[in-house]
Order: sequence, then structure tokens, then C-alpha cells
Amino acid sequence: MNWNIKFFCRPFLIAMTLFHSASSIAATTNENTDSTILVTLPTTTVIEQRKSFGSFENHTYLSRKSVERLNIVSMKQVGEIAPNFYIPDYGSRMTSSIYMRGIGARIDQPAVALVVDGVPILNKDNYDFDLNDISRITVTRGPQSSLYGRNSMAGMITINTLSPMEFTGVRATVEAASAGSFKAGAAVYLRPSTRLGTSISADFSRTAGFYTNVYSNTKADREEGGSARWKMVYRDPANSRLSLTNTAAVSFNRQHGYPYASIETNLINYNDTCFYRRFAFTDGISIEATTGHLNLTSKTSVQYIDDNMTLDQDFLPVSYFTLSQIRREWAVTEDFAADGSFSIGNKFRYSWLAGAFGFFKRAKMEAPVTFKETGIQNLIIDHRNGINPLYPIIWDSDRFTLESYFTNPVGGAALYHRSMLSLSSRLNIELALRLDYEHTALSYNSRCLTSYTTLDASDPNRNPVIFNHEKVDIDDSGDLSKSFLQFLPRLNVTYKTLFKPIPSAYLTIAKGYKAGGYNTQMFSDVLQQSLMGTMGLSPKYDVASIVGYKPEKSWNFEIGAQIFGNDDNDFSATVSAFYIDCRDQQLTVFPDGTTTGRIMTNAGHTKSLGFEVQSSYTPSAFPALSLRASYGYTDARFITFHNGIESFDGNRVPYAPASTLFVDACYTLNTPFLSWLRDISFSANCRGIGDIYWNEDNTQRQPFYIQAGASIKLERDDSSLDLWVENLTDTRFTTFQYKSIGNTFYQAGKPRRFGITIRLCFQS
Amino acid sequence: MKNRISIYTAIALIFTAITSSCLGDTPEPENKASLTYGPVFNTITNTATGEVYYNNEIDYQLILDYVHATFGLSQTDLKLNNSFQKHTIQINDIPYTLDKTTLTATSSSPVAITAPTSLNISNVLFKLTDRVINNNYNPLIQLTYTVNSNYEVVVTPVTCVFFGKLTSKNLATNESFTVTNVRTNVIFNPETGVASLDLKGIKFVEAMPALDMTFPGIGFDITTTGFTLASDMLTPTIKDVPYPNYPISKLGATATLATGKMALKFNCTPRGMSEYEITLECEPVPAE
Repeated sequence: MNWNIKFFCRPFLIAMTLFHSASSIAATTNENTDSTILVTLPTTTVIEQRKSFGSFENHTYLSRKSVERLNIVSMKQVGEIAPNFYIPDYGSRMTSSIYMRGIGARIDQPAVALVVDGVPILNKDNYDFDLNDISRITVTRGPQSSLYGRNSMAGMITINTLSPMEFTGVRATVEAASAGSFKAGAAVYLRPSTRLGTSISADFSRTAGFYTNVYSNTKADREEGGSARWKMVYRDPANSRLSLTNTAAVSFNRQHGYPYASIETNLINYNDTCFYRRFAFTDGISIEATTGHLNLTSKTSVQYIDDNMTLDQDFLPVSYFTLSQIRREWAVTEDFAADGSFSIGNKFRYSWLAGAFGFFKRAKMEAPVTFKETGIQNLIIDHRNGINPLYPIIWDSDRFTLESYFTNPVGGAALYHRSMLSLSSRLNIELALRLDYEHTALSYNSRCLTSYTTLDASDPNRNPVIFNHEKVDIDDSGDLSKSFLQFLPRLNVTYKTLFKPIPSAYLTIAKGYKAGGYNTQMFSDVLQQSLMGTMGLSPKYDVASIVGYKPEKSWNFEIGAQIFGNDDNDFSATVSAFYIDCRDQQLTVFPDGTTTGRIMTNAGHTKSLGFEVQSSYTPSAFPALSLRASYGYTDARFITFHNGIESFDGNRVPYAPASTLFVDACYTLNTPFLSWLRDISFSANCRGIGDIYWNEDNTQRQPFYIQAGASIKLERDDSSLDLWVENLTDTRFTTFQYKSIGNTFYQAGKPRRFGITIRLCFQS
Repeated sequence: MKNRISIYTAIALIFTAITSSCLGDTPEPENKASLTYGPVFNTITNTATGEVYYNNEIDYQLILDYVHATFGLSQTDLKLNNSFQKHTIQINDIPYTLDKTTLTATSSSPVAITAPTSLNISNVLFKLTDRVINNNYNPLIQLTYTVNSNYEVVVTPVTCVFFGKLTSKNLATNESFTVTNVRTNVIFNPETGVASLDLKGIKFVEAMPALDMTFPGIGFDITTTGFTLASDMLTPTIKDVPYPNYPISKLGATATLATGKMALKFNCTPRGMSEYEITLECEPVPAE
């Protein structure tokens, strides 16, 4: 760990000065209850609440206060707080591998949906971004496919930012932390009228980074970025209760990511450039109207991403090969829903929701892979000459590029319906159905122009002479397409008991679905096969077999209950147990016993069996103290998986943690004896994760580990100062590990880090 | 329907022709299909002297008359020996029969319409079996005939395509493994008197990457039903580059054109490794 004491002292003094001198304009705060668990969601007018399963849902809910206290600015920091929910922080902002209950995705399609201010973010590579003024975060576990369709097979994360209808005034945040990290943001919330609210916010952040690339003696993970958001809310209670919300956001990031160290040397040491640059834009408009007993909602979004990932793909201090993935993608979505309810007699109530969803996205991508001198020698020439040393080859240049160009349009439409019948004050039965159609296409063009020379060294009595020149001229084009039709049902039964400690219990059976498509990253294998074909190695599979994959499907069976501790309800908990059967899992395998040339396939059949507990406790006799804890355990294993070389039946699914643990304690001391301070909060937390296996044969793993955090928050009505530490005990752990061309690499978890955060809040 | 002859379509058309011919005073319907069979070469054996001569890189036009169920052919480059001038021959009206997927036409003494009067063609045997490879029509054809009672003509495609199930056996350990659908092309060069084998996706050991290899310089004999191949020792090539570390020995093959089957066998002793015995049981189409 490397932190700069001098760096902290100066900003700390400035921070204290700011904190004291902040003017005390009217001090009504509007903080939500500090709670990480909420069984039922607060009602809002956005479409997500209409579609939430009102009877019972396994949520973890983070209020704004919790978000600030836990210093959460991005989705990656929400991991472990919700049980069986893990987002490893490695690679770059493009890497958003989310694991929920043993189900996750490193490649292509996500298994967990992300909705930000009502906008369903379609591209997983755009999941990781910082957000200013998060109002609440909800993590919903279990398949949401019946109402949200594609790529919500394991669950959903919903993030809402602060609305000008909730707060008016000015907010600002300044933060300094370890590794030369700095953040600043400001937002203005205005209410020009009782019906109209608007806000605009902007933020900037940078970090010098924690990890050093010894080859260049520079930080491998330095980063800078920023974002801006404009939100407009219109509500007209008198006119059919019409409300309209528009949120537009832009963000940019540039980072020198991928701080991968060699497991042999424990050093980050690579010679070629690695970076990730991204510009993203989203705009979502939701319109809601209520007429009589009917609620109508429309949600439209436009999304754009322009990013460039460039890697030293071998992560070694030699020149094997580099790759880039340069992409521009547009997407539009529309979700229209109607819902209503009516009573049947005195005892029964029927609620219904019906909707239609459509989306279209189109990506254009270039993905060149450049083979350099060491790669050409070690990966091509040495192998080839080992087979035929009497006629060896030499390459005619010290590098060549395998170029790939793709156009990938994807579109889909769905109809969905949910019926909920309350048969009595105790029993709710909910049935949801969705018919989901999707069509994806891929146009590709792969090119390579290079050459090599074959020498005749068969006569030991003379020097080798030129036998022939071989030109490698690959220009492959093609069009692929697939369509998928899925029927996605869900049944939920909730029963409210008379047994007070367990007021309600539920049973859920639901089908989940992760879309099929084409993995363009597999085109490196396609081109490898083409290149080998020019040298006489026989191509084994066609393009569609290598890069295409079908949808992944799961059946989720879950039971759970709420628990309350006593009459004061100062203890509450939810417990649940689940079994997930996941079929046609999207994996990469080596076909038919070969050791080179991967293909995408739906080869896996896995199961996840586990349970979750999340609880909160605020002693009524001691209300200043709040405690919360959550624990999740998942036994996720392959039922059947053969990668073409060996079987992994019965092994644990890699990258999905077996356990997650979160414990948090907060004591708030009111300070009426200090005129300049309202209260001081002392918080401590720990996050635990593991075991995580790094490979299918389960020979390498990260054991369970814990990171502790703490903070002291000095709070006034108009400002706060937060001193915090993360990974207090400087726990050493691995956050990601993988193998490439025979070498194993890992990314170490972030070391202990300190920070100061000042928040200013001037409410009008 | 110039290049494709479907037996089932032919049957349907025949029935259509019969039906329509009963509908009254209408002109007799015509329904013919023409197929270009080539490039092929003729192996011409002088039965009196035993001399063998090759007519290389020629085409035959094969004609099927579905109405009259007859077969005919024409050929413009027939040359019986070096001193013989080229002739154009056309044969018609050989009746054919259908047996499941095979059409057979035989005749002992057909009449050549445009053949010179010095030529007499007899003992025609024509067999055709439908075959489709990668959506291309590539039928199996056996064609032989006799000219002037002395010259036996056997027609063979320049390139014959097979799909083999390869079995490789380590003669030291007796371990074996199989690879299916090894595409095997036999390419004849009558001018040089040798053939070559193109084997796509061949491997001798499990861990070996599949290679597209060529076995050049193989001696061949054309028979009335197909051909045989033989070579004591050869050096395989990949992309025309010799691979002397994989010498091939004891190569032998027997093929039947009408069925599209071939049995191929050879040994390989990669340098520094055991000797492997490789057999390919070849079929006309890939196994599913």
C-alpha cells in the first residue's frame, strides 16, 4: 500500500475549514431512513415500481444515507452488501462481471439487468460508471425475466438518482483519498413551479492508481473521468395525475486499466499499451398518467456508447500481440404498460399489469489483433518449424494484423402480463407471463495480408535456400443471423401468517433467460483458424459454430419469509432458500479433443443451491445504534460440463463466490452541546467474500477473506465531513485470475485506503 | 434442368409425360436432361496389344430422355491412340432402368449417329447414382464402352471425391483412435501416369493438429469398375512443401466408381515416433 501522508494533511485542513465555514441556510434535511433492508419498496411513479412484484420480492434496498455512508458511487461498490451478490473490481470500466446466486457472465450478455433512472442499460460494458447524488439502489435477486425479459436471469439492479421533486437547492461533494484520488461534483436542483422541477449535475474524478507497471514505471490503473446529468420532472396532479420525467446523462472515462500481475513474478510487467476509453450518453423519458382506475406508463430511452479497449493481450514484457476493440453502438428502447386493479366482493382484489417492450440496437466494431515479433516466433514459427525442421519458415515482416470489422444489429419485442389475486388479507397469488422475441445478426469481414518464406534446409551440405514464398491473403466476409422466441412464466405465492415473528412467507417459481447471440471476441479464433488453414492446418468448424450461441435458460425455485423480533419490530430479517437449474450455459470449449481453437457453445448444465439472510436491528432502548448484517451462501456446481478435453461434472462454477458476508454497525451521537455540529456517526463494517475458484477444474481458488471499513462522520444540517478507511486491515486478496498462452495472471485487490469526503447541501 | 438429374423427378416427369400423352391429339411431349460429365479422362486399352492410352481432360455430354427412358452421350475428343485423330461420337437410344437411386443403361450394339462409319461402338455400360456434396450435385458415374471391338474405354473423373473414416493404430502399443469425414480427393494426372491424394483434416495421433496433406506421385491402375492406387514410399506435402519427417509407406487403395467407395491403407512413421497404420474406409458422402 502506498499512500501519501502529505497529500492528506493539506486537504484535511482545507476540509475542516470548509466544514466550519459552511453557511447554515435552512437546515431541513430530507434524508431517507438509513436502512439497507426494506421488504416493500417505497412507491414511486416510474415504471419499475409498477412492475415490481408487490406481494413479496427478495430485495436489498440502500437509501441515500447508506449510499453516502458506505461511500458508494458506482454499482461495483454494492457487491456483498446484498447477499449472494458479487461484482469483482478488476480489469477496467468495461469489465462488469456480476454474479448473483452463482449465476454470472464474463462474456457478452449479462445475467443481471441494470436500470438507471428507468433506463435499462442494454450493454454490460456500460454498467460501470460513477453516479452523483444516488437516491436509492435496489438489488433484486431471482429471475426478473417475466417482466424485464432478456438478461435479467439472475436478478436486477435499480439505481435512482435524486429528483428535483425530492430536494431543491445546491449540493456539492469534494473528496480526496489514497493513491492521489480526487473527486468533485456539484448539482443544482430547481423548482420553477409546483409542477416542474429540474436539476443539473456534473462531476469529475481522477486517480493516480494503486498498481505500478514495472516495465514503464507508471501506474497501470490511473484513471480520470466525469459525467453530467440533466433531469426534468413534471407532475400535474390535476390533469389525470400526469407525470413526465426526463433524465439525460453523459459520461466519459479514460483509464489505463488491466493491472494484471504474473503469478510467477507477482509483478505487473508488460510493454504495450493498455487502456480503456469510453464516452456514453443515455436519455430516458417516462410518462405516466392515471385515468380512473387505469394507470398508463411509457418509458423511452436512447443509449449511445463509443469506446475503445486496447490491450497488451499477453501482459508480458515481450511483444506477443496486442488487440483493440473499437465500438460505436446505438440503442433505443420503449416500454409501454398499463395496470389497474379492482375488488371482487369484499374479500378479493385483482390487480393486473400488461405491457409491451421493444428495443433495437446496432453496433459497429473494429477489432484488430496485431501479432508482433515474439508472438510470430513463439506462436507460429516455432510450432510450424518443430513439425517440419527440414523446411523451416521465416516471416517476411516483424508484425502483421488480423483485422476484423463487425456490424451487429439486434432487435426484439415482447408482450408481458402480470395478474395478482389477493384472495384474502393473507394470501396473494401472482402470475406473470412474457413472450419474448429477439433477432440478432452479424455481418463480419476479417482480413489479413502477410507472407512468409519457406526455406529448403534438407541438404546438410549447403546453406538453406529459398524453397517458396507463401502469401497469406485472407478476406472472409459473411452474414449470420439467429432468432429466439422465449416464453417466460413466473409464479409467486405470498402468505401472511398469524404468527407474529414470521408475518409473511413466500414461494416463487420463475424462469430466467439470457439472450443468445454472437461473441465477436471469438473471431480471433476464427482468424487463427483461417491463418492456420493457409499453412495447411485444416479448419475444423465454420464461423457460425465458433462465435454463435443460443440463449441460456434457468428455472428458479425459492422460498422465504420475513421475520420480526419483537413487538417493537426493532429487529427484522428476511430469509430465503433457493434452487436454480441453469441449462444451455454459454461457455467456450475446445471442440472434439483439439487443444487449439475454441468455439462458443451451450454446453453447460449447472445448479445453484443456497440460502440468504439479511437483517437489521435497532434496539428500541438504544436507538442511536443500528446494526445490519447479511449473509449468502451458494453451492453452484456443474451438473454436466465437458470442454472437449475433460469433464468438470460436479466441480464448482468458477468466478462465482460461495459466500458473501456484510456486517455494518453505526452509532450516531447527537451533539446538542455543540452549536456547530448536529451529530457524529461512528460506523464500522466488514465485507466478506469467498471461496472463489478460478478455473473449472477447481485447482486454484481465493479463500474466503474479509475487508473491514470504518468511518467517522461529522454532520451538520447543511454539510458533512466524512473520514473513512476501506480495507482497514490491508487484507491481501486476489480479485481475478486467469490463464493465457500458458501464463497465469491475477489482479490483486485494492490495499488499505483512506479518504476525506465533504458534502455540502444547501436546501432552499 | 441442364446439370441435375434427379431420379425421382425423372420418374415424376415420366408419369406426367404418359398422362399428358393420353389427353388427346397433342404433340408427343419431350423431356430431356443434359449433364456435362467432366473433366474426365479415357483409359483406352487395346485388347489385342495390351497398349494403354489416356485421353486426358475431356468432357462427355450425357443425355437422359425421360419420355422414352433412354440414355445417350456425345464426346468430341475421342482419340484411341497417339496416331489416331480425334473423333466426335454421339450415341443415342440406349434404354435405361431405374433401381432405387441408380440408373443403369447397357447395350451391346447401339447405333452411333454421327460417328464415322469406321467406328463401331458396343458394350456400353452407364451407371449413375445421385449424390450431393455441399449443395452441389456431384453424381457417381461409371461409364465404359468398346470401340471397334478392340478398344476398351473406361471413363474416370480427373478428381474423385470420398469421405473417409480414418482409423490410426499405433503398431507398438496397439492404441488407436478415429477421425470421421476426412475428405479424400484422388487426383489423376494421366500424362505423368501418377495420381495424388489430397487428405483434408488428417491426423495420425490424437494430439496432432488436423492437417491438409497431399500424397504425391502415387501409381494407379484403372479398372472397369474403378481404380487401384499403390506406392511403396512417398513424402507428403502441405501447401507444396515437403514434410520428410512424416514418410508414408505401403500405400494401397481400391475404389469402385459406381458405389463411390474406396478402401485406403498406408503406414506413417513420424520421425522419433512409433509406426502408425492408417486405414480410411471411404464413402461417397460425409457421415452425419
